[in-house]
Amino acid sequence: MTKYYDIDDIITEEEIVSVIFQKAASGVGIDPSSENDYIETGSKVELPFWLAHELQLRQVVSINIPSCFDQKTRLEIQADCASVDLRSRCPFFYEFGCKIAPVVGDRTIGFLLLSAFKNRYKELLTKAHTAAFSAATKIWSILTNEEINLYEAAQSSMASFKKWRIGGPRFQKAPVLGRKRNQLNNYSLNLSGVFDKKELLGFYEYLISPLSLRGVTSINSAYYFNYS
Amino acid sequence: MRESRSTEFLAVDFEFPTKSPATTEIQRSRFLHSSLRFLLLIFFFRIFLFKFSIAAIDSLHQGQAVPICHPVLIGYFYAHNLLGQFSLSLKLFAKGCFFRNCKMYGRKACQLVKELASGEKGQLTPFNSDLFEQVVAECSQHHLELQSLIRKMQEEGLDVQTTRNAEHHGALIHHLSLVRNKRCLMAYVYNRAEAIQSLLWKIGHVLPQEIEEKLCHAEAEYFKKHSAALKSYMSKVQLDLTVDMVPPKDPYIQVRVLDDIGDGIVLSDDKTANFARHSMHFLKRTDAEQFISRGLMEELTG
Repeated sequence: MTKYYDIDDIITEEEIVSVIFQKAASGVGIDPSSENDYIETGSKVELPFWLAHELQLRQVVSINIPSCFDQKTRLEIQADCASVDLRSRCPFFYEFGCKIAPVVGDRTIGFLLLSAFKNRYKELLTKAHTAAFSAATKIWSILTNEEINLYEAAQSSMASFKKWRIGGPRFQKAPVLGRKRNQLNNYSLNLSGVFDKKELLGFYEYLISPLSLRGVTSINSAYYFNYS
Repeated sequence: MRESRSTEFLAVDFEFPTKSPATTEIQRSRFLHSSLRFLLLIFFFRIFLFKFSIAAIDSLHQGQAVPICHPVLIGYFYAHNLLGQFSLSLKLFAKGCFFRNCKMYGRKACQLVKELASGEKGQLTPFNSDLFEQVVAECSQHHLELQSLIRKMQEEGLDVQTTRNAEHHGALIHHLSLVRNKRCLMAYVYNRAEAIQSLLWKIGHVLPQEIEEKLCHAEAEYFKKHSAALKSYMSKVQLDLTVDMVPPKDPYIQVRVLDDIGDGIVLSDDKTANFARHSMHFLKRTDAEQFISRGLMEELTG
């Protein structure tokens, strides 16, 4: 019950699964194919997961495996994990899989999730730590929400490291007030200090890709252009 | 490639019959043939429209109620030609169309919660009181239906606690939707309250205008009472708890003023200062902190 107020948990449970009603239900307008409010036994309905789960506990419905865990996805994950577009299948792929696994009775979902996550995490880790800000959108579209959290954590830790290295100001405008100015204020580059690229990059020489080099220089020049 | 395929169908020549179709056998058959082709054209055009509207649903599969018959939407996505996954889109279309058309059963409540999630991290969205009221109204509706079903069971003379017939399951579904709506509403209010609490620690006791607009009346009251409680606690402990946790190296700090704050502001050591734009000052760190966190000043290092 620790997740009662958790927003991600609520959105995860809203995913739609298809169920088959084992018993009839009357007085509900959930099944659009029937004329009146009566749902017959054996009718196939699409329900959100929170409803389907509770009804299955009371043995009113039986849940089928949702389409995001079907054979096609499994083959794609086996082939090349890192480029599979999990976001379009289900934005909360891993969470949803964890919830579905005990309910549907399919023992292979756990292994599928684990292998998918292990392979994607390798890619995610390198890209999150080295990618420039402009390159983020390409990988962003195929990540699930849990992976995006990890990605953002890595980016923020990189930003804090750079800030510590350069020695930016400790106080900044509170993020809840929104960004009235351009994005650069959040990174607070030192006005009079020299941004010594080589000194910083020496530490990351084995990780830095050409893209991030370009990103770093663009920040440097744009800051001076935008300074009023 | 797809564009040429669609023009292939659109470029079908449609000959209007010059005379009335009943004159000769040949002309009648020609009319039938051309009308058949016209029907075929319409049929395939509708299939393309259908496919593109599926793509619209596909790309808008975010749980919102999409007006799928809106001609502008269809035209827009027709131009973009997002056909790739016809079967997947069809499945999503089926899922989306059927379940989204029924307005109850937690859809609106989920929308409310998604609004919270959609704002940028750490930002408050304006309080959506319409949607809130709608969800509350939905709850009472569910409750009424529940009661009517229970009454039906009682009229039939069945024991309400133990029978498991169709009405019972219907009542169960209404009850679960009610509980789900309650959970979504509670989560909405709770997360906003947490955000407001953190506001106090980051910005201070006075809220800027842009944030005041986003709060509802009850939330503004909550903020006032919370800040009053904190002030009384701090005065009892005789410590200012809202300052920075890390002890500074230098009690004084150099700042530049970004926005016009005005002059005659009294600082903690009873001096008045004139904060005009772009002026630089040498202030105590505790004074400057509140202005910096509101974005009115900027720290100058080095």
